[in-house]
Amino acid sequence: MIIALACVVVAGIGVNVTQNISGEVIRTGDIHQSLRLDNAIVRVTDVRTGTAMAGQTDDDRYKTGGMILAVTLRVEAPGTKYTVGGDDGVSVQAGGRTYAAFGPNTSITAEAGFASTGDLLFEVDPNHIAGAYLELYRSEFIHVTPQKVHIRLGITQQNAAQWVAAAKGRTLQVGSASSEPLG
Amino acid sequence: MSASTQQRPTDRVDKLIQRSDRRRSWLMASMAFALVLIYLFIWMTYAGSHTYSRFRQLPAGDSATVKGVTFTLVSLTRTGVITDGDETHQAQPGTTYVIADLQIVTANKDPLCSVELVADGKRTWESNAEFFDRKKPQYCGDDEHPVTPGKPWDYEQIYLIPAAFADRLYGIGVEDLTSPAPTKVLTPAA
Repeated sequence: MIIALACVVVAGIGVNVTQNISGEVIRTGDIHQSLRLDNAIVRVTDVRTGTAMAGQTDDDRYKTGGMILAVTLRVEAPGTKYTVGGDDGVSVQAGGRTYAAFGPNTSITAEAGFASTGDLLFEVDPNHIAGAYLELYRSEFIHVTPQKVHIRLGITQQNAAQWVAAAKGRTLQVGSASSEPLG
Repeated sequence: MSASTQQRPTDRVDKLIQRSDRRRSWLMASMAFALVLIYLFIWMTYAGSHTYSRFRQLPAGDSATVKGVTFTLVSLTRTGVITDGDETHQAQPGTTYVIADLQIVTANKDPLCSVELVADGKRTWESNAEFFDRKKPQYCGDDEHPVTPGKPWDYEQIYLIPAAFADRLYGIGVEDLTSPAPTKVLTPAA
């Protein structure tokens, strides 16, 4: 009983202390800006909009009544292999909404010493895209400092209508991620 | 000794019991604290050993056995070109192929024989997903050519890695997911 109580007290103190000293580490940047996420470096190199997408096979075709946002992301892994994305590691946030990635690439993996570049697709509401940013997130069981990266996609209140207009009737061609060795 | 300070034998016994109780309480608290420390130490050791990859390079030519499969690395060579039947594949600029020539002896049918290439900084690479048409297979047995328990099976694993790491290789890692021990890294006999 005493031991169990002591464990609970120690665990409680531990949680309290780590909450106070860590919280989340959020780095914010813009398109074309390199940002560190754990031991990887990430950079959004392009943003495109459309109302349909076409992948490498006929099954990879999709049309939406909303808008598709294609975010080209480069992931560099100078150390060990690194994966960005997955089930809950990547999203676009806009107008208080959270959009999950869909399509052929929902994660991008860079092998050790390589950089991988791929398109992440998001089906978004064209009426609420101003201020959209890409959120990359990685949390591990043992980490006390979960890291997040927010990358502004260059869609502002002023130019949101232009992005929507550019999307109309446009089919986005999406390939698989490519990789190259780091210099 | 005055009458007021005189203690009856029962008072002394009570004090001794009280003191003994206090000591016992401190002892119990110390034991609880020590047990919590032991618990934390074990948990942190377990978490540390299961969270990050660790590697242990074996002496040149040594074999490693994982789940009844004994792995031996015969050679580890780098090349810019891979032959694939009548075709050849050139490594993209800045990269190189590394070919691991391996032999296994298994106690079981249908052994798993994927191994990873290990370099410094805990960098690892998995072998190419596609198979090439070469003298040696890049897999361990199929329906037509099953691996026979007790009989050596020669195969190779091909990796595409940045050329910058070609001189910083540790060897071939044979991972045992059921063990917290460091992954054994094979190196070819000198």
